[in-house]
Amino acid sequence: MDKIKKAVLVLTVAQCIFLLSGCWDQKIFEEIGFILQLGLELNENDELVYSLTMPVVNKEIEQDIEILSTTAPLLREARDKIRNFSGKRIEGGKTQQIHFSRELAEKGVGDILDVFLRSPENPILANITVVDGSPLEMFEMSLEYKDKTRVAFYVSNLIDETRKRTATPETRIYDLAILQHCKTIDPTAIYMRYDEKKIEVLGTALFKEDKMVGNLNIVDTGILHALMGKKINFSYYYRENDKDIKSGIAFSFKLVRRKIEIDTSDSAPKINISLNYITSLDEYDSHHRLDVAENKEEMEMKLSDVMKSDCERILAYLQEVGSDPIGFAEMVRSKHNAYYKTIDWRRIYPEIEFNVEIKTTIESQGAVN
Amino acid sequence: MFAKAKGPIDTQEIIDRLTDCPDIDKKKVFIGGKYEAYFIYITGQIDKDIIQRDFISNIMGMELEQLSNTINIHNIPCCEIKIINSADDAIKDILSGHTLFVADVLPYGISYKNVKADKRNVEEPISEKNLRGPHEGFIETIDTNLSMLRRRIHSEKLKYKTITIGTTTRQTVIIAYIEGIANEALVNALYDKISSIEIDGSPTIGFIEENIVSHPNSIFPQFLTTERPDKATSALLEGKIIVLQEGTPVVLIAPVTFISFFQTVDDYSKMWIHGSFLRFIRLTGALFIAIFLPAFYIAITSFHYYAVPLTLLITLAESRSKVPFPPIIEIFILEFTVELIREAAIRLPTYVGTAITLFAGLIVGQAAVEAGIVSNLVIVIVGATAIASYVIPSHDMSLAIRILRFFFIVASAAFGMIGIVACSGLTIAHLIRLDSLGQPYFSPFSPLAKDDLKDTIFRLPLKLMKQRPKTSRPKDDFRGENN
Amino acid sequence: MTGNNAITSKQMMRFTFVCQTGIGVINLPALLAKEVGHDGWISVLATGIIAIFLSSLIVVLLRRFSDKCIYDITKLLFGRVAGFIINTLFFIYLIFTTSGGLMVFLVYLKITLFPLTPSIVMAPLIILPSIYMVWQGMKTVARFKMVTIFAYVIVIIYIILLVKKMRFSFLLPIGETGFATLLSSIRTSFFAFIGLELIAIFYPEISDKENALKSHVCANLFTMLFIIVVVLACTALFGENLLAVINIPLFNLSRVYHAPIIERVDLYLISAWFIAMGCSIRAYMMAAYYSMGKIFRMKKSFLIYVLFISVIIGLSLLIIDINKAFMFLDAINYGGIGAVILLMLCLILSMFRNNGVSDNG
Repeated sequence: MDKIKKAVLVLTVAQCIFLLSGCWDQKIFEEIGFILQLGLELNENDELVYSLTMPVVNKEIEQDIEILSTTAPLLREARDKIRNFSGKRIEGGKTQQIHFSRELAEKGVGDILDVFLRSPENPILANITVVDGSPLEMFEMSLEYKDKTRVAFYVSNLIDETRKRTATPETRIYDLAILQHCKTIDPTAIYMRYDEKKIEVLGTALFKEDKMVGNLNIVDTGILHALMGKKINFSYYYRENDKDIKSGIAFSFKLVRRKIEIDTSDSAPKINISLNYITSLDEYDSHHRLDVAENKEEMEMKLSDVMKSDCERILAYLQEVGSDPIGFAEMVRSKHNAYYKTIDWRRIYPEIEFNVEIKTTIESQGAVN
Repeated sequence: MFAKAKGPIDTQEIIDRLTDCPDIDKKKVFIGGKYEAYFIYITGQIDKDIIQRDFISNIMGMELEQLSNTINIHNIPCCEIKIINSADDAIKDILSGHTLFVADVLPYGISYKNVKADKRNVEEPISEKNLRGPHEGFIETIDTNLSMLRRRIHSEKLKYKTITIGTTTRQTVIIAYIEGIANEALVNALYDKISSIEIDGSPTIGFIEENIVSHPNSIFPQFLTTERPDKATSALLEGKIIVLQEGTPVVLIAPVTFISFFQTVDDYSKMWIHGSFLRFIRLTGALFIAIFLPAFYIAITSFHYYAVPLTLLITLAESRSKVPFPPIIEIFILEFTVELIREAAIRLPTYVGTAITLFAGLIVGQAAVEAGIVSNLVIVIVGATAIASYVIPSHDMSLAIRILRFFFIVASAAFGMIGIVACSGLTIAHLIRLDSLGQPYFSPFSPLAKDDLKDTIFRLPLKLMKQRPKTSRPKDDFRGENN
Repeated sequence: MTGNNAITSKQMMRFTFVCQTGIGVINLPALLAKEVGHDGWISVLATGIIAIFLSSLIVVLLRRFSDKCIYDITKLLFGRVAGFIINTLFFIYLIFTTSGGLMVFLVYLKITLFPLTPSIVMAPLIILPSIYMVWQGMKTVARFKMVTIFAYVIVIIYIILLVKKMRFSFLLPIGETGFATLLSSIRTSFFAFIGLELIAIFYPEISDKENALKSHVCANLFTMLFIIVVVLACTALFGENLLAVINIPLFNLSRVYHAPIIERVDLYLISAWFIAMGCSIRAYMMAAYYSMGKIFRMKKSFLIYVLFISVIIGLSLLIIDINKAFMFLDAINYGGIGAVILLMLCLILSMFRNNGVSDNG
């Protein structure tokens, strides 16, 4: 018994001797340069430009982030090139966002994301965004923002906040990878733009497989989420009369119940969508008196009508660009599998007839009438 | 005149053996005015008044025929009179504080026990304070300790088995147990083990402990030590066995499990929710923070940088960028300093002690960070670890945890998270394998004893704890009037 | 029975459960996705039922020869020489399985946490707790399995947390792959249940043998349920196409959750699961060491033990490539199927030959 303990001890000490000879996988914290944001775009020669931002931790240096950029066809190659001049060991384990330029997104992003899935150290939790412009330019402009925190935290907080209001979708790398492989649902991404003063979230970028084909604005994003059956929390502005200074009613849509029925009897499938919204009133003008019951019901009908036309518009747009983020293909595949195997979904998608029925209930009006 | 009675007891032999012992006094008297006799006693250990009044005067009032009749001896109005038949017994009794009366004409000696030695007052032990329970503690004299136990357990089933150990010191060691609850096989095993110890003296209970423990090379203590009679009493009621040694206020309790070292009297003297809260904090907080926190810090900052939360990232990097040493060296410097301070604090007199600890805290804390030797997160970590290790009630276990922590630190510095995992696996394997007096140490977790789990991480209401814990293998499983 | 190797039937149940699921479940969803798409769970269900049936037959066999382990049974049924050869082959299978498990563990470690550290340094570290425990005997090994259960609890809690992200339409339509493909995939799924034959080695040590049947069936039942849950979770989350290309589905599952402050939980989940994997390896190592003592009648000797450990570590370091490692594991799994077939053969033979059969059968 003692001997085995001695053997265990000897083995343990031997392991510690290896400690002195150098630990192979050690990555000492302060020697690492954390990539917090990654920007990918194409330059004039159609080469991949890889830029990243790193926080600077030395208090003596005035600038608080470091922007590094290089050109290379592969992500790993680009990172190794940057390691040649960065001074710190660049590691991507904490990447928060990956920004694609619109051009690159339209060419396809699937292959580029391979390195994130492959290396287990890389996070597949990073958000994916499409920037209307050039990410490198966005990083450089953000250095001038005097009243904002480091750009990575700024964008990260921005995305979190807008997500809570359902103004942008939640898309992380693994979402894109899963949807890209399953081929029946199309992914979406966050769509942003920037200028000298701020970075602004514009809505959703729509993809067809892994290429970007279109985009939706903020309110439409909320409606898209409702159609997808996800949780919603968006604000909708109802306007009748644009002439007054303050016109319109702000509703906040909180809950939706979605029912979808697919009818595959004809040559092109018919899809009936019915959405049941529960909404509450946030702000309104003096033209309407909603404490009276008939007025309220009339308002609900009007709201449903307006919503219905919006939904139909969005669905038509989706059919036009050929993107299917709601996942109708998946529904047809799973519930009507035999039929799905006989058709070519991409060809049939523009011909699908959608019937949308909306019912809105105004639940609360706030503290005053 | 009576001839010299040739008895088995030889006065001259006793006197010869006691040369060069000026603390042993001999009072020469003459029985009936003719026959030489001696009263032999240790000056500092007898109550002179009582001895003179009750023993000496009564004996001096008797004639030789009366003294030769044992009935008269037993009638002397003194408690604890004994007849001695050999020189060895005589010397043993003298050295235990008895007063001996020997004469060559008598075939036996008479020994009277009335010890009045200097002893400490019964006060609360310094290392085991509590809020809501009794404030009495054991003292060095074994008789007082036995009477304290007897006062608390008014049952004739409380038995004491006596053993004398130490070839030179000849100390008394007593095994206490409650007959009918404690498992007799364990009692006998312990009795045999202690009887077979061969040492010349045992100044502290640690000598006995190290000799009877089955795994002397393990860092974990296998017997619980306490100075509190209430803890000893509750252990006896659970069927455990107590070992008391003369000359030390610390007693041993066996068999115990790993969890016993984290239980205190306060858990039971409060309501069960409060008790559970305290127990929970002690176990999870103290145990996990004390063992894992520094190792965790090293693993994350040396190997797994991506596990740091985003908000902490920049601050941690900023504070670490000023420090020239890698995390393991930082932790070693601080841990070593904390251990030095701890050792120093034990030896300093109290009025200097508080000042030094303050001073040390200031030095280590502020100045080291300012000088750029360590980063402030490490100060917080080491401080939290030090506090957490003081929360552990048992000093032995606290030491074990301190040593264990160093193993974890080295393992995590070499191999990061997998080092911590392998080390914890090894530790748990060792705990599972350990036994205290033959009973599994890591019970009730493994082997699983569901009923005993009620008193581990939480202290569930006493209503639910009607059964005695299985680890002491009690004969009577249920508390209360079910016999 | 008392002694260093005595265990109860509940401990044997946990032992078998951890042995079966420790290593098999990591890779299984991907293999099944490649073969049967999203119907992997049906395959596991079918295989589980077969495994339960087989395991009860094994216990029936052991009951017929009460108090004997498989090595004695083969000697009785096949004669001394043939029995000895069969026992040695069994022992070799156990050694190879231990090394195979260790090999796969090292490969996973290289991929997930430590790409640069050489395997020869990692291998002794991983196997250190096992070395300590196997020397102490089956009792310690079996008691440790209790502690491992918390790793399973963590995985189940994690999967529950991920339910929101799963798309259950990925699992529909049920049965799309068709009966024939499902049948052929049973072989792949059966690899996850290898480990049910170990009870044949430790049967004499079980103290309450009358519960052995119930516990062994329970062990296989729990294995089946756990693997079904994991396969369902992986398929519903990743979809069959992505799942087919993922190497280590269980670990990739752990990378998907975005926890509130700490962001990434994969480090902790993988570390917790490594304990279970280590236990699985230890189970086979214990079986191999115990068998060595029984077959070759060796006493407990330090030198032999060192030799034993070195052989295992040496074998595990031979292959480093992940694909070759999995091929090795496949080969071993065929050995496992062979072991089960051997046990069935013994059962059939024992119906005809009656030597050694006790009346309790």
